[in-house]
Amino acid sequence: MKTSGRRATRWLFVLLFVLTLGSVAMGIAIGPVTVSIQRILASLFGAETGGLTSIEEVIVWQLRLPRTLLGLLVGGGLAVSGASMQGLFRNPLASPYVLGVASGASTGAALAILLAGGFATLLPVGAFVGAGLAVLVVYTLARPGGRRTSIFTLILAGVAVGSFFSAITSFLIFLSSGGEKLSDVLFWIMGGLGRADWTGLAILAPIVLVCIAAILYFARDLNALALGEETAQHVGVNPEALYRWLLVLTTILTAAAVALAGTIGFIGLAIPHIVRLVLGPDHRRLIPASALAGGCFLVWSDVLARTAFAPAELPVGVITAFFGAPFFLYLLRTKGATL
Amino acid sequence: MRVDLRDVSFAYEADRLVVRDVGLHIDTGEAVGLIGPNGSGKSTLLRLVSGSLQPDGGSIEVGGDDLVSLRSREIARRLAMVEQQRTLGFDFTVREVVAMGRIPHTRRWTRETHADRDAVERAMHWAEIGNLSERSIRALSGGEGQRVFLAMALAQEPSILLLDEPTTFLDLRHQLGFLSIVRDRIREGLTVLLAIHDLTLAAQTVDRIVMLREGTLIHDGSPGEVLTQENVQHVFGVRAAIGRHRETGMLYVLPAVGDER
Repeated sequence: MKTSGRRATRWLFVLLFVLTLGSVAMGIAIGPVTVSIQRILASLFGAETGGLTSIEEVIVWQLRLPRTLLGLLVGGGLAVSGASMQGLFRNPLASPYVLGVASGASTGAALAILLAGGFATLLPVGAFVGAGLAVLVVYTLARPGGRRTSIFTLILAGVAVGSFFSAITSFLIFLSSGGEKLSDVLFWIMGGLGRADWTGLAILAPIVLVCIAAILYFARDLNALALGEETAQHVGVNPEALYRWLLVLTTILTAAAVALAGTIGFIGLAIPHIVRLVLGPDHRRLIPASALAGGCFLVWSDVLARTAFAPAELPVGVITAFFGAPFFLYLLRTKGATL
Repeated sequence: MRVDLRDVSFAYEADRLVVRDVGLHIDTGEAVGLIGPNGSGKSTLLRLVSGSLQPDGGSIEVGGDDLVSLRSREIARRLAMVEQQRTLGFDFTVREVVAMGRIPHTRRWTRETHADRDAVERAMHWAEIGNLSERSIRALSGGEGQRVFLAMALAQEPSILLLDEPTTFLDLRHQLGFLSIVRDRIREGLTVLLAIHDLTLAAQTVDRIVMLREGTLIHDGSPGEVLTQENVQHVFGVRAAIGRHRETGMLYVLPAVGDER
């Protein structure tokens, strides 16, 4: 039973890994202009004939590959954030956005678009700063007089601060009085991978990978925390330090993902659940598997988002929820609601 | 491993001592029962010994080292604790939970070693839950669940086992079953500090009883010495008949019902 379970886990990881590679290939090949994998490989290995045309070169290397990699990083990052938040709060309803990251980022992004609309690089910076600011406010509010942080106070403060920032965003949208800037703000909030470029990736990739590795470092502490703070303490885990580290790491991870791709919903909430239903709750498996599954899921969703109504592009958040939610419900029904 | 408490005091709020100048020495291999009414400081005392709380006055030494000087991981290698009840955050299997007892002994990023596996199997065997291994902890009865957490504590291979009213929510049969597993470990030389409400079960499990009243240690001795009518009347405000079973010689405490107000 035990060894077969371990072997099954290994195969599932191999499968996820192959699936990830396949998703990347698909993300590059499929679009309004379909480019066959063979020709991409031929061009990659410098074949004389059968390679890509110069337009295809641009489509593949400057548009689709960065976009696909962004999908992997953002999807994986959001899923790991969600797994970490759910473990930390021991609450299946927790998502990466529970502490107001999304609302803060939206306000920051809206400000950047409205005040410096022509200057595109300010947008991710504004979103990142807004997200960090929101969580900082939540964390400060939830610690009156430097006493122990209570989970419930944190969640409530997150809801309150989130609403506050949403109000500011709505007010900013109201001030913008329609026009192109308004649709920019709304499109950013709905989320999408359209802003992918190599510069952004070069900044995002190290942040996401380091944060995921660091969260994985705390995986077994999260396991112990599932049995309560006291129990965690009895096996030598310091819950207070765990909260502090994971809140910082999760916030940076989520804020970085959101800064480049907007507030894509559903992945952070549902992917960890889906993985947990298949692999069990052990965070040492849950976190890496969520990273891969979240990445694949967002890449596929994006392929659909840009082909379904081509040349128009759907906001990818529409796809993630539209297809993810029913699948999630199906799993809940068949695997028994053991959340 | 010895436990030495010297003049230990603790207050959750200023000016309201919950534990007051408690001095207590437990020798290696001794099993001590902690009894007293609700709010007398039993749980607080256990949490002080486990290192979850730091004393406001006095000192606590475990194996000759002051708790304050030990890292939490080192404390967890010496002491394990079983509580009344726990949160069950996710759907872990019984074996996964027991294996968490190995956390203080293993490094991160490493696989389970033979020593870990042996400790887990042994603990599950002792706690008689070998057959539940792959079951979800959420699907267990209260009695089975407590045995799982006892196994987790034993997998920690502690020198000292702390038990905070572990049988409170169990039925009679499971109370006896749980305590008989604890008694086996005591017989094998494990040092135990057990807080418990049932005075008869206390007398049958440990060889020394400490009585607390309003945070102060007022009696310390063998069950026969501490569990007297006067002491029970004085500490619990309850009249009780105390006797010994005719055949086994076991001490029992029989409270007089209807007299408690």
